[in-house]
Amino acid sequence: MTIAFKNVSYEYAPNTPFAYGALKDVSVSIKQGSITAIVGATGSGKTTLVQHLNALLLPSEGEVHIMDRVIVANEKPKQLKSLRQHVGLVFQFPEYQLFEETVIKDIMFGPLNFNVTKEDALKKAHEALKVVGLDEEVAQKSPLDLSGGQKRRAAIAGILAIDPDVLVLDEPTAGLDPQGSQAMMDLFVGLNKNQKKTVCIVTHDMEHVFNYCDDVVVIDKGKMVASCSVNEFFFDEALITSLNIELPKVIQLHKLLKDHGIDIDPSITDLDVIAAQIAQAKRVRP
Amino acid sequence: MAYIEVKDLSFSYDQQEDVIKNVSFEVEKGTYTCIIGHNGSGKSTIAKLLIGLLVKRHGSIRIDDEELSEQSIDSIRTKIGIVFQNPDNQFIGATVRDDIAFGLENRQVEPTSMDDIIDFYAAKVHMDAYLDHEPSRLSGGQKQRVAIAGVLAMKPDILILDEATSMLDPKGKREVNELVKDIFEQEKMTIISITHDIEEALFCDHLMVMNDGMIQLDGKPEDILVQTDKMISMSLDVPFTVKLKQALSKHGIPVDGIHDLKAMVGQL
Repeated sequence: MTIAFKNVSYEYAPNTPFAYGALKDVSVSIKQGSITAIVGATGSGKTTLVQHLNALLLPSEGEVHIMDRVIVANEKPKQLKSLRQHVGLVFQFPEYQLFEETVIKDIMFGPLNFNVTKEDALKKAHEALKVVGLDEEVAQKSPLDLSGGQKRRAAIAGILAIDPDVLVLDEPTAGLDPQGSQAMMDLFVGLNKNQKKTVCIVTHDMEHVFNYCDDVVVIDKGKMVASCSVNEFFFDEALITSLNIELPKVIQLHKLLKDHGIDIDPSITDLDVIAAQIAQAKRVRP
Repeated sequence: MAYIEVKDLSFSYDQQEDVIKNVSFEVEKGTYTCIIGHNGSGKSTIAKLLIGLLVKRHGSIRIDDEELSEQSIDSIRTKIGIVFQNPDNQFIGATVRDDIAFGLENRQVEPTSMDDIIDFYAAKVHMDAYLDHEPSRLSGGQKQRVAIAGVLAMKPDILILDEATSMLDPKGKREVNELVKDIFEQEKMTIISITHDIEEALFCDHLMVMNDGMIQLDGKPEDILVQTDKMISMSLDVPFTVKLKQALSKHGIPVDGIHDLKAMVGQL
């Protein structure tokens, strides 16, 4: 068990007129080596939840277990620096945080903060650049001269250069075009499969959850309402209805086909295969 | 004469390479136009040129029979409201109420009628419970709904949405799209939506596809979104219903329409 929340609550601006309970008694665990989607409506507390993963926010109540570390409410946390080396958090729109003169310097900033030598930081930065699919020629450019998609890759490279075991991404594909976001998701799947990184992705995109993730954690109004595998999630009709979640198109199609009396194995996602089976079903029962 | 007429429009950020290349198009009053294209294709630059945030290098932009120029910019801007992708860059007020009021104050709306207008539009975007909240403490989607309320409260003739729903969750996106649709129908507003949402594009009146600073396709969505190979060559996708229709047709099953999955399955 890599990460576990035990009865975690979090309140923003406590003891002020703006006090707001964003997490309420959340208990959930995230498996090592999985790709876990954190889903829920806007304002449900997803971002608050993931900001606990590298102790950017500390719980108002409860405990957060991250690998062998425990963060307890109202106790001064220890070894935050080493925790943050193991858990890399990529914010929403991370490209706004690029600040150095060149892309390569920006990527080196993280490792240098963790007392890596300059040579090693440079080496790690070049590796990270390659992993996120940016050309070597981008290295010496100013971050301001990159396109939106390239900036986001550079920002993610800055986290990867720290080589965290757990990678947490808050809406990493927001604002990217369809092809850009698919490439981004392929990158995370690659990091998960090849480098065995545990990946947590906050997302609204049910197609991404369906196509790329293993597990789902559902947050609703600050509470954890489900924690299950992706397949359990999408076929739990009561849960899907109560959350008002739009199903991935192919699952919608399967449901409509079933209602229409055409039974096709719901695990088939290739439209060509589905169409072939519809054709077959129609021949049998025209 | 179309309501918006753009002719031979070119623009360059660095005086070297044009990022908008000789673009011409027309938008009729009271229509819902979508502009799609991959990141960097020039969509947002077009929006910034239309509201005069960027200055063209060549060509002409006419809005409501008036050439966009240094002299006309103020009067043209009263006709256009724009909502950007990132609402953090467009908040001014300390509370949601103040933020919606800001635009109204600039338009010298009577203070006595202001509260009603604010309440009305805040309720429209389902943010009426948050009027006294600080915008900076809202989540991304909530912020965007407030930004949309602030623009709608000024009742512009033209509403430009520059990827305005891209940060919203599917439910929020649906609500805002429905809201925009309502406003579009009730106020006879001209809407230009720059979007990556291919499903939204399916339902517009007029669709333009941009690639490499040029408008590659301009027409009705049902004629454009079925051109799978062309769309994919421009790094774009086609709607699920189009993919299904094409897969079914390959297996000898014709179905009509691409707007409604349920209606398509009903024909099987």
